[in-house]
Amino acid sequence: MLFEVYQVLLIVSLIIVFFTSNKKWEYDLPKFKIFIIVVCLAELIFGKYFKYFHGNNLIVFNIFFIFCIIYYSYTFLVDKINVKNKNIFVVLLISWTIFAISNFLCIQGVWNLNTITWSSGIVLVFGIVINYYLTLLKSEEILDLRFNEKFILTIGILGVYSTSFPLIVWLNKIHASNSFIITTQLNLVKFGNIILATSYLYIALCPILKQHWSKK
Amino acid sequence: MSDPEAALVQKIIYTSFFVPLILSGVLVWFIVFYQRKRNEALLREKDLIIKRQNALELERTRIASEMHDDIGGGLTSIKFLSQKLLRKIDGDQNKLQAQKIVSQAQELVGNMSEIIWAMNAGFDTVQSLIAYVRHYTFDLFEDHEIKVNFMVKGETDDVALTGERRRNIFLVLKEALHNIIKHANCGQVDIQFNISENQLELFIADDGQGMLKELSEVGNGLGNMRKRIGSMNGVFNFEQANGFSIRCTIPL
Repeated sequence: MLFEVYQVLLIVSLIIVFFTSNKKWEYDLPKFKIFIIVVCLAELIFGKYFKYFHGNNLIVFNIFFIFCIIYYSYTFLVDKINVKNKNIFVVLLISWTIFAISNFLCIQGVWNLNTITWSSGIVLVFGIVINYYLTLLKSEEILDLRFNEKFILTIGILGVYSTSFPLIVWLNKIHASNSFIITTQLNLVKFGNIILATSYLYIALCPILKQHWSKK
Repeated sequence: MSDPEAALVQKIIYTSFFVPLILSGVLVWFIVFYQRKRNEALLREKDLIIKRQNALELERTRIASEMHDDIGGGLTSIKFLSQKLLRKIDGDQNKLQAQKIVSQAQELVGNMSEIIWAMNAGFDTVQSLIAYVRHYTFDLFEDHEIKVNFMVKGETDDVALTGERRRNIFLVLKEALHNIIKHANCGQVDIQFNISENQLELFIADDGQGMLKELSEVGNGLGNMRKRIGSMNGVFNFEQANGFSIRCTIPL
């Protein structure tokens, strides 16, 4: 198969984002259009290129993971709704970024899965998402979560990272040699990716849905 | 790896995948459920506040209307009767006292009209404030040789302003205009309302001698103005340059 299901979803999201860029519609997520372009470049072009010509695309996904963690954290930390303990998270994010780059370049290497970076990054984003939820629960505003792009993004983040976290942290170590188990793991990770890509697609559609709903 | 071992590992993999997925789903469901319930509660609360406000506005309008009909009517009668009496009676002492009754009645009629205007919820807009202030200003300066420039900048339609705020702004302007008549010795007064999306700015300036000499006398008035504007979370400033000017900025 040329493209996986989640990759098709990403392509559709990209088309919608290009379509909406001609209109006056704006996304609540900061720089979402650029983000979705980067996601598509990493997943559809660079990932495939490195896999085909070098037999290993982990270098792309190690960099892409760092980029995603920074983007997700930035999205919630610049939110109008003040996430609690924002300063602590900013310090943690900067420290994590320095560590992740060091780990990528010097410790675990560019061609290996940076498991320490991935697991610590997921924990950091989970912390921010949980804090965001707490802020939502305490908010005195009437919020429509159906078209709340940040909330939709959290569903994608929780979907993909909660499922891949245990697999990355310890299962990868136990049976890395068993091809059947690796295939099972990969299939499950792909399922998590479908959840994330669906959330991107829904976010891409949000301005259209909002407008359609407000007309009703 | 033996078959039973592989099956166990596969079980672990599936558990590691589905348990966090289900937990995440439950968390998201809880947030959505809680948010929906809270939205409903907030909407009910908002609805109740609107209903209360409407009831309050109706009551204010009713009281204003009754004050206008009963007390206002009575005061106007007293004013006309005392004016009639003033024309008929002889003797300086009696005339002086009758004159006092006429002045008091006139002042009371004026004050009553201000209170009724402030109470009537039908006038709760910036447009109504400006119309009332414009009318008051031109009436006040009619008998004085002072030119009035009255300017309004910005959109005033449908900008809400509560009765209390309208009255506070009006009383600040009234105090400023009376100070100008008493102390400024000027030839021109500029009154300007600047209305933007989230604030109202009132600027009053004269080209008179200024008020520094009499500041001790008008200081209390300036203090009152500052207090009134402050009670609306606004900012009050005055300046002494080529006359005297005050600038009030009030959030809308």
